[in-house]
Amino acid sequence: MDKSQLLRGVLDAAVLAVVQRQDGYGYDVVRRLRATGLADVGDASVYGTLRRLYRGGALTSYVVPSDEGPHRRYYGITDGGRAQLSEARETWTDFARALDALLEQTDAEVTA
Amino acid sequence: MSTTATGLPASVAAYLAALRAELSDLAPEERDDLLAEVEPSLLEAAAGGDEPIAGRLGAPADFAADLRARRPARAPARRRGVGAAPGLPRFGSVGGTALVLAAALAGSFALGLRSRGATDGRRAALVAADLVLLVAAVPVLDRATDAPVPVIVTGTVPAETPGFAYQGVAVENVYPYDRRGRLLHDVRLCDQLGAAARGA
Repeated sequence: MDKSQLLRGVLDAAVLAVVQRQDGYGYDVVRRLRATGLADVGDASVYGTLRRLYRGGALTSYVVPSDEGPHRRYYGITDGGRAQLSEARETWTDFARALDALLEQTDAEVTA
Repeated sequence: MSTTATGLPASVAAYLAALRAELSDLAPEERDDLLAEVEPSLLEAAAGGDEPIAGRLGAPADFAADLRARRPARAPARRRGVGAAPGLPRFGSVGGTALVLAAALAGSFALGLRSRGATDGRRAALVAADLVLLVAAVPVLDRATDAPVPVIVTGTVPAETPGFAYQGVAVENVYPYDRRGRLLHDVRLCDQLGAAARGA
């Protein structure tokens, strides 16, 4: 199964969940997503998602100077972002439950 | 690893320059901000061995497309209304709907003419049947409004817009880009006769 296609539909929720735990800058969010097991996540799509969520009001942003290079833009979640994440969590739970049931059923039919 | 005056590895600087060109339509401030944000990813990709950055992160054009992160198009919401209820007749066109309504009207007239002099009971039954038909016509008419209605526009042709125009709107400037989204310089635009186009 093509994981990158699956990721495309849930990246908003994944990014919001990471930022909800702790504010982070772009590359930090990329690394934390990978650390959770989403190894196929694309750097550019995470940066793009962060900016889109920020423009949509789900994230807030602030700049922190860095000694190592250019300044870092940190992102934090807003109330709107929390509501969006909560809605995404419900949608995902329903979806996952339905697909789990379907796949388990198919598996049982095959072994029967 | 060779570095540039900015202290960045040459491969990172080159990738950033290509990205900058891909994002040339953005406001300079937004573009610089975005490039600064993605720099750590490029540095990591460059430090990862001999493989070129594009091998790990994709071509600059693809990277830029992902950065833009346009929301995927959603399916249009289903129309709700009386006519959208399942199982109702669909006649496919305004003409078909009009034909059905005209036939029903003719039938109604015929019944009316035949019922002259009928008993009160029969007259009441006919009135009731007419009311049922009237209510049934509502979703049919609603369907009719779904179909595109031809619009005939009359009037004079608008006055010619001086200079460049697109669909009747004056074009103040034209920016030529190549297929990879890079802004082109020193180009000349020509009209259909090969003459150099000149603004108003």
